[in-house]
Amino acid sequence: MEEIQIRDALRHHVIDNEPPLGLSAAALLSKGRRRHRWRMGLTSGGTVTAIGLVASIALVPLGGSPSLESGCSVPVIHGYVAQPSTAPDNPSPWPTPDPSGEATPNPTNAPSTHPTNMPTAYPTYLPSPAPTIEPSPYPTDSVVIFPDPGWLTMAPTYPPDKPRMREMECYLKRELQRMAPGAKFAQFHDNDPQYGNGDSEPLAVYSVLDYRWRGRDGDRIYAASAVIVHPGQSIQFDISVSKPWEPPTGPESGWSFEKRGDVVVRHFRTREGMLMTEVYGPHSTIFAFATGTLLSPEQLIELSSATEMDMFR
Amino acid sequence: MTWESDYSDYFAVRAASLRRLAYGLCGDWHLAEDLTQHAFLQLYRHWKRIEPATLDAYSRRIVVNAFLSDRRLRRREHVVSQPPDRATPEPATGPELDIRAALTQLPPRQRALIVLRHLEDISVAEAAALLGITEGTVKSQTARGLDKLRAALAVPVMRGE
Repeated sequence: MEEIQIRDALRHHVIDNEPPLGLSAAALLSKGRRRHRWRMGLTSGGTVTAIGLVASIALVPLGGSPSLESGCSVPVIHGYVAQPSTAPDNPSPWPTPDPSGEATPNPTNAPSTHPTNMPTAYPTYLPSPAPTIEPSPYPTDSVVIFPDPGWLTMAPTYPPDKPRMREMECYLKRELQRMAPGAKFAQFHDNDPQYGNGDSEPLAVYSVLDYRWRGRDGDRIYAASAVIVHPGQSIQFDISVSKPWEPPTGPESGWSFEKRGDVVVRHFRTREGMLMTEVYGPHSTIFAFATGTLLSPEQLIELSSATEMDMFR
Repeated sequence: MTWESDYSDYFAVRAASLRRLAYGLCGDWHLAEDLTQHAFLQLYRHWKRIEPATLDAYSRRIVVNAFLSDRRLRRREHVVSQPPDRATPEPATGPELDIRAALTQLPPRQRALIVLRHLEDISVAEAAALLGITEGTVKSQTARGLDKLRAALAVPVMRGE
């Protein structure tokens, strides 16, 4: 059989009985956008969590209190170690705490008790066993941390940031306690041979430089995170405030869409149970993430829409 | 014109031919469509970083790599105590179905080379770059694949006579 016959046979093979294409550009664009949002949610939420935990531990020995001495506080659980969830109706991918509500005596630097079939795309909230922490070249409370080089880095905290960061932190602490009465906030303790002992500060607001998106290199974002431990369930909560993103112009698959004056708000719940909300204001865009059902979409949107969260106003 | 309209234009022009390439590789229209969708989602993700001159090569590379990964995964998949019920494959009755059967007998990389060289008409150098192998390997693997294809296609023809 000659090569040309093979070539012809191949062409007939792929053209004859060819069914109509089941794909469309519009559907692919929609899927692409959704995946982009999903990745953005995972990376933003996960990295903010990692930075928050690492930074909160690192700041104690290097620069004093990580919470900007805001004067605000939340009830904390010390030495919290997550246990695998056994509740079948708990949609949260996060483990449920000990039903007694008591802090476990185990140190948090013990090996993780997470089962290996936990979703791995979303980061665990236990501190990484070996975070890369580099001493800051800045003399104040600023610490440069590279959990993932070239991606997000801790920003030096210049004085103009601090009042609004304190305001945001106090607001988050106050409102989350109101929205989840009886909740406690996990505090992680680290015994690091290099940096000594330190307790994390839940919902401490950090300023981070964002290098993830083209055209936004070095843009400052403000972020906070916490593991909220409630008698019913424990959840991971992350929130970040950035300069305005271009808002969506209409509903996309799976997302709600609503215009409230000059603000666009929407939310999306993933199959894994993670709730994502986005508030596109004229000065700031606020992305919030929460696992579980402790916080409703409307609560997250309300939390994100407050003046205190509009950091670039 | 936004980049998304460029993307849509590219989809309109190339989606069908990419799906044919994928079908040539896997011999299954459903999987071919999945591979095409995967390719376009990857293109969406990286669109702004792709040089227009290399767009076709990049698309082909995604499809071929996805196909080869899929083969590798499927090779490890079949550990079952009872064989599953499957539909009986269509009998090969004509030359077009013969070539489908013949292609499935080739190792995945040889199949990819045959399809790339003889369906997509890409050069030896392009095929080598796409699969990350030397031009000598492209030539030898293509020649071996063609020999096997000729042998496989010759048998039914003789039986038919």
